[in-house]
Amino acid sequence: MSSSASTSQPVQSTSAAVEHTKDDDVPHLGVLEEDDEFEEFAVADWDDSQTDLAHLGGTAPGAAKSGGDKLWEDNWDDDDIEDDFSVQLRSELAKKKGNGSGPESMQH
Amino acid sequence: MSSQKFSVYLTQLAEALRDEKGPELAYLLKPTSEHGKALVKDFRGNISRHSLSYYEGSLESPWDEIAIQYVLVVNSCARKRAVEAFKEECTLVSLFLRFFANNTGWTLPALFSILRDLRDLAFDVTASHGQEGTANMEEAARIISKAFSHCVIDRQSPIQESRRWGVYYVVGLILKCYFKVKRISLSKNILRAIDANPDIPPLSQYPRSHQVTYRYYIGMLSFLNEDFAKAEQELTLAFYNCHIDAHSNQERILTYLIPLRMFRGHLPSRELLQRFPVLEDLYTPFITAIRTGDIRSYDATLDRFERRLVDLNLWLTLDRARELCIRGLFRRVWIAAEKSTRVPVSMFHAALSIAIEDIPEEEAECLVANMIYKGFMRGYISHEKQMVVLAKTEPFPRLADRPAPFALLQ
Repeated sequence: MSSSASTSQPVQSTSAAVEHTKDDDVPHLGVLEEDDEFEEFAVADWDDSQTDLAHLGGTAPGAAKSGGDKLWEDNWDDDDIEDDFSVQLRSELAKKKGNGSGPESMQH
Repeated sequence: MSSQKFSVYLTQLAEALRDEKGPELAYLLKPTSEHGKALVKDFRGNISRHSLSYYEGSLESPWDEIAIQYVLVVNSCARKRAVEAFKEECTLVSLFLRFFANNTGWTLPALFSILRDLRDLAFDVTASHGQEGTANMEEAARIISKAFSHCVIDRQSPIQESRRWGVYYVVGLILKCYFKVKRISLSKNILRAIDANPDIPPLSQYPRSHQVTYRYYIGMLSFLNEDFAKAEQELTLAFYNCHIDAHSNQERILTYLIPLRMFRGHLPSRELLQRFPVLEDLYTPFITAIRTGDIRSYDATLDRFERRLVDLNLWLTLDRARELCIRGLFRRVWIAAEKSTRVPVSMFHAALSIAIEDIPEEEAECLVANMIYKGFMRGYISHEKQMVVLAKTEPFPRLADRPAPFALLQ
């Protein structure tokens, strides 16, 4: 592929180079990269203690933290995020308030 | 012609059969084992069906033929003739099934082992012969399906010695074949056959390795057929029953379970992700974006991983999960408006314009309407006043509290 790119127009070879950089940027997904599959287990059977059921403290799988499974979070809404976006958002809101109900009434 | 080693081999087979030693039988029939290679060497290149016919009648049928067939398989493997090795193993399995059909569950370890070998040999052909290999993999699945029937129809054996204890392992192998050659629609018949047989013991009574493999494939089939609720259930059970040392299997299950759980508002904890660095790299940017309503970063991540996600059949799912991110963004508008019950559409419009790009105000209104319709927001839009009137309590219900989180994904 790289040889065909180099013999064709410069424009194309540039885009191939860009493509290449983008590829390198893609993090490798380890085992998921291979055209592999679900593996045979080394043993046929095992008890709860050798599974993640041990995290559940007796509750059935399927819940999240508030249901007793600390592997999954279900209360993650955050009211106090402070970043540039919050600042921009608030200044936008202040602007709207400054204009009063002008734009709304103008529509009618 | 005769071989000292082969005579010993015949004796070993006879003993394993007499003492009903399943694992020993499995070992004796493995094409890759040392004793097999030694056998082939002992014949000094003089191996053909014809020359080996000398041994017919040396064991009770079909074991004389199976023993001969075994030498032919090992010989083909040793000569790296993949297609031939697969064909010879097909014959060996068919001969074995004649014996299997009249015996009890003690034979299951040997059955599992030769079916695995059959699949592996079909896989070797797939690897070296492309399209032709696909046909061989389907042939392997067809032969394994016969074994499945022999497991299911066992009505004589006492329950603890029933061949029925082979059902789920064998089905797992069949599904593995179909997934390998991407012919998953062929799975339907075998799954229907399981449903149609109420005599099969409940899955939970089978060894965990059988349960987990079966649930993984059922979960994946449901995922690919967009039955996300079922996919989430099966993959959850697969994950929690999986052996914690089977790390790559757990990783594989979680690859699909994590995005499904996201729709339910269940985000993987740091503790969980740290155990799977590959998934941590993949999903952390999406999760952070959902938590903060950062659509720009969500889109950038979707774009960056596009090819990998497409390969894994995950792109569409994560594209749909973008809604969770929009919900996060709208929630931040509500917070910025000091949790007022009345937020002008123009605010949502402004937020979207900052977060992504300048879009028409009608589009913003449409997105809000969509969020309300899907239960991400509670309230209504006063179109004349261009005002979003939000519910006094929980205008943005926790994602975990949304009923039927998969209902409106299509």
